[in-house]
Amino acid sequence: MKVKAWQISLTIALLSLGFLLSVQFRTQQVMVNDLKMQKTDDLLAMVKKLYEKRSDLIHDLWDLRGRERNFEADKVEGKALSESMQQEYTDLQIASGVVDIEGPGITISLPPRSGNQYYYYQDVAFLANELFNVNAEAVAINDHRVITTTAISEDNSSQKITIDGEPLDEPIVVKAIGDPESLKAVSIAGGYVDRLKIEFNIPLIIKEEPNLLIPKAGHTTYFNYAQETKE
Amino acid sequence: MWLPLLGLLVGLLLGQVFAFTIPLAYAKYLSVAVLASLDSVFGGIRGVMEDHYDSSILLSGFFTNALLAAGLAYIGDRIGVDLYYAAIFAFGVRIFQNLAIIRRHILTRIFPKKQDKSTDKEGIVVEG
Repeated sequence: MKVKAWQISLTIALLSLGFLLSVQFRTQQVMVNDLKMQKTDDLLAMVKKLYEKRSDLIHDLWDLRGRERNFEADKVEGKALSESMQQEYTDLQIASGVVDIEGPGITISLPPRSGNQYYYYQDVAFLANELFNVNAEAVAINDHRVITTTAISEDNSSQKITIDGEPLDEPIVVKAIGDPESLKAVSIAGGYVDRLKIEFNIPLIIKEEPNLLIPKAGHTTYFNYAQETKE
Repeated sequence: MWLPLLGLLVGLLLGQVFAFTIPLAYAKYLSVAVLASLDSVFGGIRGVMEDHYDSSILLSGFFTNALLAAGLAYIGDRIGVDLYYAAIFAFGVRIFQNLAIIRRHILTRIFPKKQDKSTDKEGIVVEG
């Protein structure tokens, strides 16, 4: 094939045109993405749209912040509730005697009696009552935990003191956990401890203990019939 | 006939390969230059079709038109007259005229008889 003169020059022209077009395409591409080259109307529309979007987002932000605050408040409230419930649960466990407990307190030791002298079950019951009167938080008689349903009595045949049906051996040691200062008031003049000492001449020993251990009660209280009254 | 098309392709490829851009402020002048070049090329093709093609006219027209168009647009911007639009208008009109003429020549070549008939009847082909 013979190459004609017009083909060569036209080829040169088209080659240059192709190059220019290519450059122009790319430049145009850059220009479309450049804000400086946009039309004022387009820019105004864009600004307006962005303002709207921004105010929407600010609105959302406030909304979400409010919700965050609510969640935070709920969280704090829930935490406080859970803590107070936990505390109450622990208190109830201690009060109903289902757990072993320890703490500062006092012990009252009643020495064994000889001859025809013996302790009455009232002595023990009164002692326990006196200890609760001086704010004992927990009381145990020879490690028998005294709770609301503990029965202090005596065996009809042997005349021995019983706690929940179990005979109580001498010497009797009564433990009480609570504020030691407050518990010391148990020996106040005219009180039952004082009476035992003076009137019955029993050399009972009261000792302060930095840490007493009281085991859990042998039985637990269940409420199958008793119910909270409705208002 | 395929050689010029090949040239166009190579030119496009070269432009892509060199990844060359001009400052955005001058993009406007480049676009006018491209328009002038397009006009020259279509003029050249028309010349080939009409058998009065001249290489020197094409090449000189191609480069001087492009440079002049860009230069005039630039000067227009400097003196506050939008010669840019004048260039677009002038070259745009010419490009469409040339395209119409080229189309007619191509049609004449593909369907010689039919076109001959119509030219015989009307004497001269007028594009509406």
